[in-house]
Amino acid sequence: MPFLLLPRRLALIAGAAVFAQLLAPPAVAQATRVKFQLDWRFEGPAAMFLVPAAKGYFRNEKLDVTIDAGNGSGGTVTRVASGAYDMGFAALAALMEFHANNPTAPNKPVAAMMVYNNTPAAVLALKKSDIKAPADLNGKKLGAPVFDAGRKAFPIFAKANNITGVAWTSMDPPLRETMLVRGDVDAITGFSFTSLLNLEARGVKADEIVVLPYPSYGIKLHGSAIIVGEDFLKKNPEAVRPSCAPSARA
Amino acid sequence: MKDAIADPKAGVAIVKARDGIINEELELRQLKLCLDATVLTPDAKAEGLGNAMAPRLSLMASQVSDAFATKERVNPNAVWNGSLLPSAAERDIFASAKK
Repeated sequence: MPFLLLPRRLALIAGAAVFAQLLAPPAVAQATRVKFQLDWRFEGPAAMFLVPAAKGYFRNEKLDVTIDAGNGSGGTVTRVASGAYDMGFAALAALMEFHANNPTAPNKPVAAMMVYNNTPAAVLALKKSDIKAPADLNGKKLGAPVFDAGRKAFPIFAKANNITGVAWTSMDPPLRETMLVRGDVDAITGFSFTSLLNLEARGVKADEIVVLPYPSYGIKLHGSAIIVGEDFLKKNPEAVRPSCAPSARA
Repeated sequence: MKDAIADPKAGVAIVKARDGIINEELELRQLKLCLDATVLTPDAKAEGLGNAMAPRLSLMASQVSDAFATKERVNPNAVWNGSLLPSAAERDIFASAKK
């Protein structure tokens, strides 16, 4: 299914069809343009969105979908809210934060489909640090970029696992795993799969790494979802319907 | 989605076509780890892919309000619109997953 429940055009809005004819050319029905922003760069997980686009599933639904890379969920939420993008893929927590901090924003995006049912957030440490379980994080030095989803949700993880006295060090994303390897911090937070591979890329073997995924320690937070701008939904009134049949067939 | 789950390798090849800089072998592992950790989970199986249940949304809204110290409390009903979800049968991805 195009994971996007990109709106399916059930019928062309009559006015739009007439307008298209007046303007001339396309005898074919105009496709609805959809600008979609990912949460992050084009990496493995982006396949979930790029595959249906490449296979023409959206085109079959008369959707002209453009997918761009992102630089973090917070930015994607903001850009869908500003109308720069119609839809996007972003952490539900970031969307919740936007709603609660911008109660009067005119175009608040809504989540329409959960993709990461469970949060990808995790604490990662090196085995040699003797960190084996959440309780071992008491009084430790943790590192992560300030906007990292795992860092922002850490108070929830800490409360559920009685962790206290943690000190944070901030850095840019490319330095996070490097600082763990160098011993500048005792543990980091990040997406389990991303940080694990980043550590391996820095020469650490998989069996030397401890991963404490939030969902394994009592955290029921959702991860990321497909979000849609409120205005975009309204402007595609009855034409807006989920479309997933095409790729279900694939 | 189903395609990416059924044939992650072909999926990563499509990502590579979009951004030639990626290491396909590494990104294939990342995609598989990502699917296992977040998408093909027991919770997703119980709730249905794509879906969100009210009690869990409420819990998350409350936890995020506290942890993120938001200006107002998060209203779970305002952030989620499940009316656009495809049918449950169309969202059944667990059959696509090759373990």
